[in-house]
Amino acid sequence: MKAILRQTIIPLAVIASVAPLWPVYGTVWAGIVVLVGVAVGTAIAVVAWVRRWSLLTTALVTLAVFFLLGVPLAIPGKAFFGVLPTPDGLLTLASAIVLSWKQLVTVVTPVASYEALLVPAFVLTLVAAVSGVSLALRPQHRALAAVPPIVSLGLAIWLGPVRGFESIAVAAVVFVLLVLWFAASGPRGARGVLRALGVVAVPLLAALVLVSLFTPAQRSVWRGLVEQPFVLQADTSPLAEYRAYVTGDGANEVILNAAGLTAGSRITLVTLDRYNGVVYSVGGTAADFTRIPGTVPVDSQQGLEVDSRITIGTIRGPWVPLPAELGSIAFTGSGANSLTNNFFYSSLADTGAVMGGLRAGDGYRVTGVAHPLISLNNLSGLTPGTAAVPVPAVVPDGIEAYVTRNSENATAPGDRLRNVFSALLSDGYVSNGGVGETPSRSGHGAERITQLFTQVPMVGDGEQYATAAALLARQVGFPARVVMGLVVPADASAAATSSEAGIALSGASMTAWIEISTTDGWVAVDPNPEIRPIPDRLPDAPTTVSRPQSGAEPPPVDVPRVQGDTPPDSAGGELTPVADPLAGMLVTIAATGATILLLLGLLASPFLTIVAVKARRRARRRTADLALDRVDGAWTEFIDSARDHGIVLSDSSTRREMAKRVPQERSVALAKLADRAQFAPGMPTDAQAEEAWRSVDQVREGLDAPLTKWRRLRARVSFASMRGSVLGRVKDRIQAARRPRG
Amino acid sequence: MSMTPEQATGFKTVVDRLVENVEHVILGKTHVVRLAFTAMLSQGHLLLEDFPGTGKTSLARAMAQSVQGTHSRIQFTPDLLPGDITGVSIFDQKAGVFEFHQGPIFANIVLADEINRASPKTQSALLEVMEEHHVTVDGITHPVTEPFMVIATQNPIEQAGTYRLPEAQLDRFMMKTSLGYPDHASTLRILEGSARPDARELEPVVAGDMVVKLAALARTVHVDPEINDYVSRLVEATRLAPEVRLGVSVRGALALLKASRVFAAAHGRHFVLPDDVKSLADSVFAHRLVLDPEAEFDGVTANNVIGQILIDSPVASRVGE
Repeated sequence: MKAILRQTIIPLAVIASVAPLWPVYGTVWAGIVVLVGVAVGTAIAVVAWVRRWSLLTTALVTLAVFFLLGVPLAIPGKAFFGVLPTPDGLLTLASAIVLSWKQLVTVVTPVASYEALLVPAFVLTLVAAVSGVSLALRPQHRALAAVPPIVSLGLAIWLGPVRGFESIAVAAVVFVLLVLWFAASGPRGARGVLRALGVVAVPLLAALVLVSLFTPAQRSVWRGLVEQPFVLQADTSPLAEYRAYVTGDGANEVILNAAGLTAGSRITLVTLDRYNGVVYSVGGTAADFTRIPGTVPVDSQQGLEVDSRITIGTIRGPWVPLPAELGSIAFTGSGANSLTNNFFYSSLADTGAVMGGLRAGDGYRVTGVAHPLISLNNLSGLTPGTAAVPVPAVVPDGIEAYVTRNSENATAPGDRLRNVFSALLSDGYVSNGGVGETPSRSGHGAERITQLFTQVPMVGDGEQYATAAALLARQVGFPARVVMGLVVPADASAAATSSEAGIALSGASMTAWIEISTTDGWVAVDPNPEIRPIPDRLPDAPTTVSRPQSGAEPPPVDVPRVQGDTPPDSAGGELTPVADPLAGMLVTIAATGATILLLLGLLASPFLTIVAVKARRRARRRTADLALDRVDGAWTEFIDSARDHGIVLSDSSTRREMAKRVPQERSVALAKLADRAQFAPGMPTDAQAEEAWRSVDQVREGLDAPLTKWRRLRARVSFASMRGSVLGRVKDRIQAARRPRG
Repeated sequence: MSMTPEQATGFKTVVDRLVENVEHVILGKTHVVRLAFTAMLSQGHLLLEDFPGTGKTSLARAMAQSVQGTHSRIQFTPDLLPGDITGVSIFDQKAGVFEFHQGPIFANIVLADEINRASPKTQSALLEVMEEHHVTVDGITHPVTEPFMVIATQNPIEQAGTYRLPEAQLDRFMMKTSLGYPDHASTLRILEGSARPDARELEPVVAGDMVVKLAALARTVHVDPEINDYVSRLVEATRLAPEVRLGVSVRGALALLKASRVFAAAHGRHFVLPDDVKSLADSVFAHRLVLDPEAEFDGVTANNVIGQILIDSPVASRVGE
């Protein structure tokens, strides 16, 4: 009973060691996976010990159990009736062994049972339990049983969240369990306890000293180090295509249908926070797009709860229109899986994107909290927040003067902001520069914004006013960013917005506004002046450089540059250059083939390494300078060949005894030749060395002859003869430890 | 000067003839017969321990017959006195001097039957002659003739009225072996050939001085340093084995090497192999070990210990790498 209790310590240590992963998964199912992984791993180790399985057999059984249980446990969505693994599930499981680790640290936590992200937890616990308990059951290797829990603890910490130092407590629990383990399995009494404490406490103390000396401000874990797979081009801006939506045919095209929204609700297409003097783009702190498991924690402290369904119409680009700061998103329709897999979200920018873009007909349900829209009068009470927004690379001429001119009577930031925005709304006139409208250039570069402030009357549209407002707010002292999106018309009927199909929003509904950071979080402010008649331009206006506006071609849509992944079917719209489909298919086939070859190469690399090492070893033995060494090498090669073919040869056997165990015609002759070479006076001749190697070749051929191709291959890649390697020594020691028992 | 391959072949021929001659009497025990002749050609002594009726005496007698020379048989009993073995000085009244009358020990091959039945005092009378090849009586040294070999037998079953041989005495026997019961086929052959001549009727194969020359030749067999190392490690292992209270002595190590030389030459080789050492280790070492009483009580035998040591000890370092 005592022995059984003792053997439960290592499995408990393995369970404790993966506790740092709890914040990553945040689901009870992950706990079940861990418990099953440890229980099954322990069972395999015990059966292997009782039945005296070899290392290879134990590994193969573990692999088989992994594939049997991996799908229902770690990828339950791909199991028949939740129990039987499907072929697709098995393929996903196989690829997850390699790929899921990186996915785990690139997906926003908690990941729950998203895709195959439970596979790392299952692999970790299964392998740690099998190896830890196996070592614990071997008396001569008990000390090594502490290694698997410590390794799994390290991996769990590195795979864990960036913030939070609870892992120190977990580490303490693991070490206490390991101390108990050493105390229970080592010598009895105070000496045993002291030794156990010494074995575990010394490294622990060393680690604590190192941590105290070099404590980082923030933990460095893989999650914080890996490069996110969704990277945007910094020099393009979706705001540049604003005119394409609001003028011409685009103004009448239904770009999406939205249900569950009220009149005046806003739908964010993209949030832009970096201004380089040419464009406003997504490139600052908001560029940390990560894959999410479907739900994310909502940070907003205030706002209106939203539950809306969006159906995509003609909208272009990768951006996913979201009516709120995302709480959850669920794609619907036939492409739901693909969209879910390719959906990225920036919680800092409250912006979503899909690699490859959305297609007409794609739909999704969104819940979350909409940022409140602040009226002009309510700006007075605001205090600047602390959100990190990149400083504009260029502040257009006229911004500073405009702020100074319009806020000289106020001191509080909120009051200054209100005065400046009041002036903007009263000075400004709206024109999209369309046919029949007052000329108004598109673009929001520094020169255009300067023109906005210097031209009388001030004429522009959402693109220019949002940019100008963000820069003005920034000048006042409020971190600000531009939001491009749609607004549900104020005159939309409640019946239309609440219907199943929702209200159709055309390009004319596209607008741009700003969000400013306050102590209460982000709040939305609409800087667009009221649409009213535009007075004639003053004849003596000093800056009257006007260009034809309505026909201006908007810049191309920014296409997200993706690293390390192949996008699915492109939905980049007509602005995305279309590649030759045949060439694309060839590239895809070549890339797939290369990937498969690479994977096969990776899988085969251990075996190829063994074959290469053996070939080099054989060549070295055969080409030794002295004939005596060549004969000796021939004999050693004979032994290695025999061991690789599964023949057990003891080091305490003489050559002739070994030769009798290898039933080949030339075995005994080779043994005699090698004996004579070593023990008789004089040196062997070159001819004798040649004869020895011919004998070795014949013996190898003879050993191979009755075997199937598969068994020959097994002999070629067998590790049995690699006695010089660490694994070979460990295996020998394990076998030696098992010998006296029974 | 080392033995040449041709000399080794000649050596083998002689030993084969000796073995073949003895096998006329002792059937199916080629290995034991070879061991016995190995002891003889190593100028060592042989202790045969076996059950009654297995052919111990016949083997000793057949060996003695095969070598042309003198041989004698001493039946050890509790009342046997040292003088009954070595000989006595008797006063010659006519000459007025003491005249030495040689005992049965003065022969080329002496068969000491049931040696453990004699008292320790009598057993110790053999110590000097076995080691020094001479007898000292009344202060006068009398050398024995060469070749000289003692073949002793003892019965392991009947322990009543016996005296266990002291360690010093056991150490002087180069080998201890046993014939054991013959297998079924050999028993059949023995029964069918019951009319065969007994050991006393065997013809000598070699002269006594030839045995001396062969022994001298055997000392020239080449021994690689690896073999010395192997023997040394085996000896050390007997001293470190937990079941052993007293391990093998230096005399034991030398005896094994000496016997290995003869064994190699008897197989037609002019160099020693680890195989020779392994073949002889049990016979040369086992009777020299003094086991721990606890291990003995647990049923461990000296042969078990030697067997385990041979399993645990790697042979010469370059073999089986």
